[in-house]
Amino acid sequence: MTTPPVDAAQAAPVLHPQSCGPDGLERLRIAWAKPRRFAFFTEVNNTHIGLLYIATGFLFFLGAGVLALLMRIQLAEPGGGFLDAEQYNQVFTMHGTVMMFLFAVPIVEAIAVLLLPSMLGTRDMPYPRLSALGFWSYAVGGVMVFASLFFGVAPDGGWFMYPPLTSLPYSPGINTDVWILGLGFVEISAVAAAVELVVGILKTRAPGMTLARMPVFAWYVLVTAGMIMIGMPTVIAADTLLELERAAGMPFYDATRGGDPLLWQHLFWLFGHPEVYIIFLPAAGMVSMILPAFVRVRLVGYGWIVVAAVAVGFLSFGLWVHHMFATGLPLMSLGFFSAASSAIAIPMGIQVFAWLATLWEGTPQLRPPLLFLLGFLVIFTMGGVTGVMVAAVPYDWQVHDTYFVVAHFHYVLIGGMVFPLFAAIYYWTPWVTHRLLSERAGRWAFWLMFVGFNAAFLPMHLTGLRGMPRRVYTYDGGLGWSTLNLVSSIFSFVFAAGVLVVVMDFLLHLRRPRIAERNPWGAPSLEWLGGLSDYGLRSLVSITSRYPLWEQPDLEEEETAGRGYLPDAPTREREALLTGPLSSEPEQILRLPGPGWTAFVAAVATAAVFAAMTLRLRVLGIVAGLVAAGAYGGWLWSLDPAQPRGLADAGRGLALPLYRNDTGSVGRWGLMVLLVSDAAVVASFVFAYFYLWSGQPGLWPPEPAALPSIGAPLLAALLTLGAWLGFELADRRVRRERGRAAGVCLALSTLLAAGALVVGVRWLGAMGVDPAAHSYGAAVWTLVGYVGLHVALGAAMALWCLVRLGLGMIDSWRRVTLDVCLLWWRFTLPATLLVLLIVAGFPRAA
Amino acid sequence: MPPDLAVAPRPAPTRARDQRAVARLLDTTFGFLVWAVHLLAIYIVQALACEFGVARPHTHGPAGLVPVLLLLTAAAACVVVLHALRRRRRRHEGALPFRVAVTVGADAIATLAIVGQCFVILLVPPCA
Repeated sequence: MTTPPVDAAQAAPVLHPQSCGPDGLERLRIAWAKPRRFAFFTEVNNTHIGLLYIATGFLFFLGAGVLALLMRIQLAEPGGGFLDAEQYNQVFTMHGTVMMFLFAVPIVEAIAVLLLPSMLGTRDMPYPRLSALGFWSYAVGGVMVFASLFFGVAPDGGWFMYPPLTSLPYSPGINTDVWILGLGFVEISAVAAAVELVVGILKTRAPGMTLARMPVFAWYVLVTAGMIMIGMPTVIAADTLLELERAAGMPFYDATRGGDPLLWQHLFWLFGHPEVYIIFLPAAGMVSMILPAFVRVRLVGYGWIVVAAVAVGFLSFGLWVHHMFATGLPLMSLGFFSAASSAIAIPMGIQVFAWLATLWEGTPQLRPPLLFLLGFLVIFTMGGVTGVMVAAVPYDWQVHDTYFVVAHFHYVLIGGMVFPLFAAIYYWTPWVTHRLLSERAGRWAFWLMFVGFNAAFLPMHLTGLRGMPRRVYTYDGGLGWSTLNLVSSIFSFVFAAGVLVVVMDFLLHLRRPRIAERNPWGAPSLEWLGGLSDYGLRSLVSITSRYPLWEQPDLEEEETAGRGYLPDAPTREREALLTGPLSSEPEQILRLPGPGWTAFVAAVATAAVFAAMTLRLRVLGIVAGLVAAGAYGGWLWSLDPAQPRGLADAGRGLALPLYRNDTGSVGRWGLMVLLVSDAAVVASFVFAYFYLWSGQPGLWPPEPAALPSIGAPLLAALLTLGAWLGFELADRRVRRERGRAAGVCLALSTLLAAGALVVGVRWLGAMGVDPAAHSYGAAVWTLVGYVGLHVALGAAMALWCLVRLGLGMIDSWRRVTLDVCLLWWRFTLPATLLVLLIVAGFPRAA
Repeated sequence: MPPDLAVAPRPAPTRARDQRAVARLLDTTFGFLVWAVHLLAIYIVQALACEFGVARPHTHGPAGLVPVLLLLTAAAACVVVLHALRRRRRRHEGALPFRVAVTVGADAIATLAIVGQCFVILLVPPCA
């Protein structure tokens, strides 16, 4: 780290002295106050964005729930005429899509965005604007997808969108494009939130909150965010390939031109199965946080629960083929995935037993949150048992695509996620609104939901075993399904009534008087130290326990008296304390961006670009693209502002830097995490290339004359290597205050990268491979195009750094921009070399 | 002003253990990385072997594999137990034992998952 030597720093006056008196508190309030106008759109604080996120997610839940009721009305009797086949297709597709993409994943991320800063004892996460961008992207993209229902163009190919059904010949309308582009946009926002959560958890924990003392919810969210970083990119890659096939005729999934529809299933379920655990794990985290408060003992087996969460995070990626047991894969392959599917029962069992042991150890108080948790345990365990049943290949063959599977995954998802969510609503509402929800209404809601759910979905196991297939809009009488369906339909409304009770209770509770206690449940976790406020805690306290409110009696007094860190906002800006990822010792005072239009405008303009692409509106697309580019450009330009070299007062007698230009800078951490996702996209495209080859090894390329040449890719590789080297040299020159030489290196890097692009484009042209003729050409163009995009962005970054260097915005101290761009090149170089090696070398070796 | 704020602020000391934090965090998941590599390897090798007719389609896995599997299982169990004992000896050393404990637990689950997958080879013909 290039901070001033300690002696020099000690000699220099410490910047920005803190005050824990009323003046400090006033500055804190002013710095974190919402803007007076347009705060709804411009505020980026996690408390504001988190609440909007949760409210939006819950509205989508209600919308998708209404769609479920429409389906149940249709299926209540044989030969029902409430919906026709086309409407039913749209309704069941949108029900699944909205529940999975617009409710389940976003709302768990939303809860994390809202609660984690307070649980971790920080004022906010490191990238508030990124959170805001993620939220607005999700909200606008989600509304676009949902609104398609009202225009009759909603997706209708099932939430999994299997080709060839969703390929152009069988889905010629824009319904599929709405799904691909709208949800692709939402998926990108999920990745943005995941970046924020990973870096936030690792870098902004309270001093003393080591990994061993971290709230267990943070562990769950950390694992979940890591899974999103890997899982979401695979479905983004799958979406991209499907849209390329639909829009540009590149036949990835078209078997008549060398494609393979099973490629979609591999990529989709490589995301789709972890998705179930992405939804479940944060809910399990909420369970683990709520349970101790209602049994009055510590969570049993904290360490084992952490191990189990990490285990689920990994093992869930090895289960994707269990959605493909009926696709004709070799038996032994199925066996591998059947074994993995059974193995995941171990960590899941560890968690369930830990919760049961906690209940056993303590004295349960049957308040509404605990009721919902008990409901969760019963329902989720039943879903887990049927999960082990369908993990057995022969059993899966019997019940594949029947209502047994529908029952199974609703037991897992509603039991595993919706019940904990309602427990969380009853538990954390007093933290948000300082008012308690009604106990009576909570009990009514629970029993209506518990009875309604079981009576609706338990019979579906039998309906499935009697042979009723999924996704049929009607059925004949006399098959033994009628009564079971009627019972399911009736009790689905009972379940919905329970949800309605909660909604009404929430609305009515806003009229009740505020409660005096900060912590009405006597909970042990840090968020209850202060309620929901703009700046969180008065001062950031040191943590010495996993259960600070139970085991650190002086904590509240220390916090309110301002004796913790950062009791002030002396820079007049929003600030957070960065701590070591492992030691959790204070490292830096991070200045955070305040309210602004950038994130909102960028999200809306990008959404307009996606909408224009869907509707083929070129002019709108260009205009929106320019606006989006302007917003992102302005945003990027504002990053890495000038910061003083001196140390600033952090409170408690500690002085910290306001800026880091080493490997600990949050900019570098953010890109590092993002590159994990990028690597997953590259890996998905490489997988697609080899998967398509494996289906036709003798036809790769289909015309032997089209074998790629060696010279051009070698030259492109050398030019890319040179561009990277130029950037490395520029970085070293900047560190030695040799700005002019650094400028020359950056200019050289730009030219070499541009040269690599030209050579690459000419090579593709000279190869004579039509990307629309055969899957070989499609795979080659996609791979080369994707790394070409990286090289192009690398060239733009070199130019960007050159301009900033010329304007004095990069020097030996202020060089995070250069460092982050260099990290990009350190990823781009090996990715490019790997792709060139595969494309040029593999067909010769195969 | 409270007493501790009256003290002249001093620079924070450098924390050596936060260097290479990502690598240290990934240490704990090493067992699962081995599991992931193993799963991909057996899946891909088996798929390619069947695709290119290298494997005999309807015969069960070689019986000679049983002792190898048992030996590997025992070796993996030993590694996990030894790590657990090491963790027990160092349980009073602050945060490190927690990470070691997580590592041992993760290794144990990963071992079970790997062994479970290997036994499939004994049960099912490769390309049926």
